[in-house]
Parts: sequence; C-alpha cells; structure tokens
Amino acid sequence: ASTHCTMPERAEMHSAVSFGDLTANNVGQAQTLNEVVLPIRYEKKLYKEVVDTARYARLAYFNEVVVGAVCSRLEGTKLYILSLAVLAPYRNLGIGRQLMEHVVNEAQKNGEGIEEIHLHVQVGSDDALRFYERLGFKRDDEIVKGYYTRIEPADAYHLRFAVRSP
Amino acid sequence: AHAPVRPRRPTFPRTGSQAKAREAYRLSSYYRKLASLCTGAVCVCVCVRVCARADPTTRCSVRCCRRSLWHALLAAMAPPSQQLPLKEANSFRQIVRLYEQKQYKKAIKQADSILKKFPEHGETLAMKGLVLGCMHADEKEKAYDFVRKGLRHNMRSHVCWHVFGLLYRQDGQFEEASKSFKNALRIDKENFQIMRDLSMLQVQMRDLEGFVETRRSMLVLNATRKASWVGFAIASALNGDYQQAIKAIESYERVGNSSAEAGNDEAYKLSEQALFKVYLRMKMGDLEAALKDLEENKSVIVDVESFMEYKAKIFLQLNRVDDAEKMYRELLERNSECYSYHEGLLRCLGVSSCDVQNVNGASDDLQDRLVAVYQELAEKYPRSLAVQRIPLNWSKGNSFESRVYEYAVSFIARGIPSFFADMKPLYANEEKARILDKVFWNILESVQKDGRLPAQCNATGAHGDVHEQGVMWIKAYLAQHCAIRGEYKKSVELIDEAISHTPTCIDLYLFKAQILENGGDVNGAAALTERARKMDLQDRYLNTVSAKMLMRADKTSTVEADHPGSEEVMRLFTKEGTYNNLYDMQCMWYEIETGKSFVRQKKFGRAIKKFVGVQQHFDDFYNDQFDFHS
Repeated sequence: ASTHCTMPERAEMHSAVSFGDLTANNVGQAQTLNEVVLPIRYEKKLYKEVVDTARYARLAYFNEVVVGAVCSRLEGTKLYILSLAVLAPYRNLGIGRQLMEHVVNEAQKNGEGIEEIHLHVQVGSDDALRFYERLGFKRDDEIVKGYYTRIEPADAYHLRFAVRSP
Repeated sequence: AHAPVRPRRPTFPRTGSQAKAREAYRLSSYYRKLASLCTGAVCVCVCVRVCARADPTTRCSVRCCRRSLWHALLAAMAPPSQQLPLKEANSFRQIVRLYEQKQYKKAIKQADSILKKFPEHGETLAMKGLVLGCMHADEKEKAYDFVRKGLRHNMRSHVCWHVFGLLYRQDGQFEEASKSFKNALRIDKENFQIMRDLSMLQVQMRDLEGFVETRRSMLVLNATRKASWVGFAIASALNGDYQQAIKAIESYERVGNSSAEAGNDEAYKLSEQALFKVYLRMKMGDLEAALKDLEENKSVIVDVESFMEYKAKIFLQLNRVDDAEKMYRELLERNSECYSYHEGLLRCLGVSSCDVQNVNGASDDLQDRLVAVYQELAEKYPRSLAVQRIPLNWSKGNSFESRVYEYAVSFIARGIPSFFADMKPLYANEEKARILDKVFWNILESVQKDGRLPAQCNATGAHGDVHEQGVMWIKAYLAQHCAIRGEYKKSVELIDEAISHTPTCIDLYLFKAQILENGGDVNGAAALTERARKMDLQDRYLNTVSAKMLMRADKTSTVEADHPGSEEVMRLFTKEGTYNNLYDMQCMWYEIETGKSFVRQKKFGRAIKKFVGVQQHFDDFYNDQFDFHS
C-alpha cells in the first residue's frame, strides 16, 4: 500500500469526523481520493474487486464530505491492503489509525479464516513505516526490489500482521 | 324554493290535434281518469303507481302528482312502439342496473332480447349504445350511432337524452354533454340524477351561474340531506354570492344535524363549517361579524391554528394593531419559523411593504423598534433560523454588517453548502451586496491567517476556531458571490482552489458547473456534473442535475460507452428503466428540456412529440378533476 501520513499522539476524534461503508454507488469517491493523494493510479477494474471486498474497506467523512478511505483485496486466507489515503488538510486527526483499526477488527472477528493482513510500503516513507509498526505490523527482513514500476524509489518493504497466532 | 314549472302543452303526435290536447289539459277530471289508465302504461315514476293503486282521489303532494301525471301523459302519448309491456319494462330496468354494476355483456344480451321484439324502442337502443361505449373504447362511432338512433325514435324520452349526455361525458365532450342533460331536464324537470350529473359538468366547465341554479333545484327536491345545503352554499360562494351562502349554512344549522351519521370526524366537520362561515364573512368584507362568529364558535372550532390565524388577520384588517400584534406573538410561540407570521408581525410594527422578503431595509425611524422586538424574539427562541435571518432583510448599513458576521458563524463552522443560496436574495440590493463583499473577504483572510473567525463575529472560545475545511467552504461561497457580481475569472479561480483542496466534495463540482453554465460554457458544465454524478450513483438529485446539464449541452444520445447521453442517464432511475414511466409520471421538466434540446439539434419531430406530451398532461389534469366533484 502507499501512504502519506504522520501519526498523531492518541488525539481525540474531531466532532465532525464520522465513518461509513464503501458501496458500489460511492466507490467513485474513493477512486477520486486515491487519484489525488497517491502516486500510483489504480485501474478501474481493481475498484470492482474493492467493492466485492467492501467489508474490509471503509470511508471516513469530515462534515459529510469523504476525506479518507482504506481499500483492500482478499487473497485466499490473506487480506491485502491496497490503499490507505487521507486528504492533506485532514491529517493529524487520527483518521488513518481509525480506518486501519476497523479493518483489523473486521478481520479478527469473522469466520472467513483470515490468517494475515499484509501490505507494501515504499522505501523512504519512514513516517508510514512507523505508523504501521505502531499498529502492530512486522516488517519482513528482505526488501522487495523493483516492486513499483513507474515511481522512484522502486523498492518496497513488506509488512505483515498476524490475525491469529499461528 | 321556486314553484314547479308548468308542463308544456301536449300534442298528440298521431292525431296532431292541438285542440284535443288543450281540452285534456284543462279538464281536471281528465287527470284522475288518466291516473287510473296508467296502471298499464310504463311509467318511471313510482308515485303514479302508488296513487293509481290506491284511490285516485288520495292526496299526495300536488307537485309530485303533477309531475308523475305529466309523465304518464307523455308515456300515454308516445307512439305505441315506445311503450313496453310489463315483462320488457322490467327487462329494461334490469339493463340499467347491470350497467351500474358494470356487467356490460349481460346488459347487451338483455338489450338485444328486447330489441328482437321491439327493434325501434328508443330507450333500449340508447342504453345499448351507452354500454357499448363503456365496453370498447374504440367503438365510439357505433355507440354514438345507437344512441342517436334511439333518440330519433323517441325524442320525448328523458332517458334517451340522459344517456346521450352520459356518452358525451365519457368522451370528455363536456359542452355537448351539458346540452343533452339540459334537454333531458326540460322533459323531466325534477329528476335528481340528471340534475346531479348536470351540476358536476357545470362546475367542471365553470358555468357558475348555471351551477348555482342547478344546485338550487336539487336543494328544493331534497331539503333534508345535508349535502344539498352544503352543495348550494359552496355553489353560491363560488359564484360570489356570499350572503346567500351564509344564509344557506345558517338555515341548515337551524334545521339541525338530524342525521345519525355522527362519525369520528363529526367534530371536525362542525369545526370546518364554522370556519367556512367566518371565511365567507371575511370575503364579504363584514369583518366585525366575522370576529363575532369566531368568538361565538370558539368551543366548536378544533383547528386552533386556523382559529388564531383568522383572528390575527381580521385584527390587522380592522387596524386593531395591538390585538393583532398579540395574536401574532402567540402564533410565533407555536411556530417561530413561519414566515407568514413574521410578515404579520412586521405589518403590525408598521413596516409599510408587506413582503417580509423585501431586502431594501425598513425606514430609519422604524429601525430601533424592530431591533428591540427581534432582540426579544431571539432571546425567546434562540434556535430559530427565521428570527436570525429575517433581520438581514430589514436592517441597513452598519447594523446589517454586524448581523451578517454573526449569522455566518454557524454556517461556516458546520460547512453548510446552501449558505450562498440562503443569502442570494440579499444581492438584489446594491449596497448590501457591497457590504457582503467586504465581510466575506475579511472572513477568508482571518481564517487563512489564524484559523479563527474575525472578531466581529463575536464567536468566543472554541466557537471561533475553524478547521481548515472552513477555508474551502468560504472559498466556495466567495466563488458564487463573485459569479453573481459578474467577476467570472475570479470566481473560477476560487472554486478551482476549493476543489483542489478537497476534491471529494461533490457540492463543489455542482457550484462550478453552475458558474460555467452562467458564463456560457455548457459543455464544461456537463462534464463536471457527470463527474459529480459518478461519485455517488445512488443520489437521485445528482442524476437529474446531470441529465439536465447534458440536455442543455445537447448530448441526448450516447456516443461513447463511458459517457452516457441524457436519455440514458434519465433511465437509470426510472421503474424498470423504461421511458414510458417518465410520461406516466408526468415528468414535464424532462419533456420540456429534452424538447428544447431536440429543437437545437434540429430533430423537430422528436421535439414536437415531447411538447405535445406536456399539453396532454394538462388536458389530463383538467379531465381528472371531474371525478372530484361528487
């Protein structure tokens, strides 16, 4: 996943922040969000997969306007986080953390047998790395070389989160 | 009630002897003999049979006898083929019953059985025509032929004329129908059913004088039913004769509500009756009497809101300003958001223009008084929006400026998109527009610099803090503000800044689309509304806005897969995705906009089809009103 986010201390949730489900009808807003925030442009058909896995996706609102979104994809027993994005003016409010916590909770409670959540973080994004590690993700020792095809640096860290103790 | 009209002089069609007829008419004994003669003849009126079965000298009401005897006379004088023997007469009555029960096939069978023996019986022919007209909508010609044939055979039968009228009515030709009913009435002057049908037609065509007359005749015939009195009263009121209407209602009240139909809504009906009387007196201009009526009937009137509103209006018209003001304050206690109550209050306080939306500000000497009153209201109803917004209309200059600062606080803090729409009427006043310009640029500067509202807003502590999103909303407001003042370039700049701040805010695209459209760029506007629509596919409002913009850009048909035309976009929200649904739902904005677009595209045939559809809707409105007269 790509993220640009600095992690606040346990800040209080702003009264204007609320959360909602992602559906086929509003996935367009998530798409607009990602196109603006993230350096990678995802294909349209990817968002169809996101709608199928809508249980592990979520939208964040500020005064009824979408400002953040997390999108994921189910690969067998592993859940892959495709993207986590929050618009620049709305960062440092704890929105990113709340979105991730929602995904983790959903993965932990259901009976679909999800064993692991994993994602990629671009090399050089130390803030993002710290963000996930604080949530409990563990970094793989090897770096994935040439993961990104169109942006620099092309390498990525691979992080995992074990949902059930192996 | 007026006396029943004398029957016209009869002529004996076979012998053509007028003298004989005159003789018969004058001899009173002749009538009695005729009554006994008529036991055999077909006569629609039950009365005659009763009289004839009993002693012919029995006293029934003169009116009734005369009518029924006249009837019998006619029937006796009708050509023999028009009188049916008892068995066929019963059969004929059954046809009428079957028609009323909508059992058309059986009715036709009965009619045919009578016609086999009496092929020239006018009334049966007419009934057959009527039933045919009901059964098959496309056999109208045949139906008319039958009825006309029947009428030719028996011009003197009120049944034939009545049926003719019914057929015309079904066809929607109200003018012809009323003529036929009038003919029927000329023959049978006291037939309640015909009168009823005629009165419904007259009110549909707004023949008000005729309507009053018909209703009066109905009242004379049936003075015990409440509905007759009410019908007559309403007819008089419609015709402008309020005095008569009031008398009618009062007469009925004197007679008393004898009917045992006291249902759950009896109290409400009485209340409405009382209020109706008050309304009539007000219309007549008799305000003192109206007020007295209101007071007397206070215990009966359950609709407290109307009671208070009428009272307040009457006080104001009588120039009893203090009483009126008290009433309007009481009304505001019930509902502080109602603009008409505020209007009443302002008129009491002496604001000369009665339009509460008048943005030109009240005169200077009134300002102090208004400030005091609205200060009081604001303390009593702190959450009322109207109490905050209306002062913006009547205030001027510096006081207006400070009020705008305070009004803006909640809108900006909560990011309410409709803020500009709320303020838009104020721009009609040039001085206020200039003040608004100053105020909002000031607010923007302050929020961008410190993240706080400026001091003039009087928002203390946390209320004065504005999250960065507020900047986006203020820029959006200023964009619309610049557009209405004609500064288009600046307007587009501002809205673009807002969009790049939060590209997921759908309202911003709609604002920009409106700005572009007003500036003349319809294609750009359509592209934006489409983008907005795709972001929330279950929003019907976005669908209609986008469809309308596509029509304005003349993109009615779909050219590329990903960019649907307006026709396809409209279909997304109709039942089963069909076009017919839009016609059935009488969606006229769609028909008009699409029609205009087709005209621009020179597809005149399709345009005409849409416009004709609109016309048909209005015809349907008019025709559908008919069912509500009964």
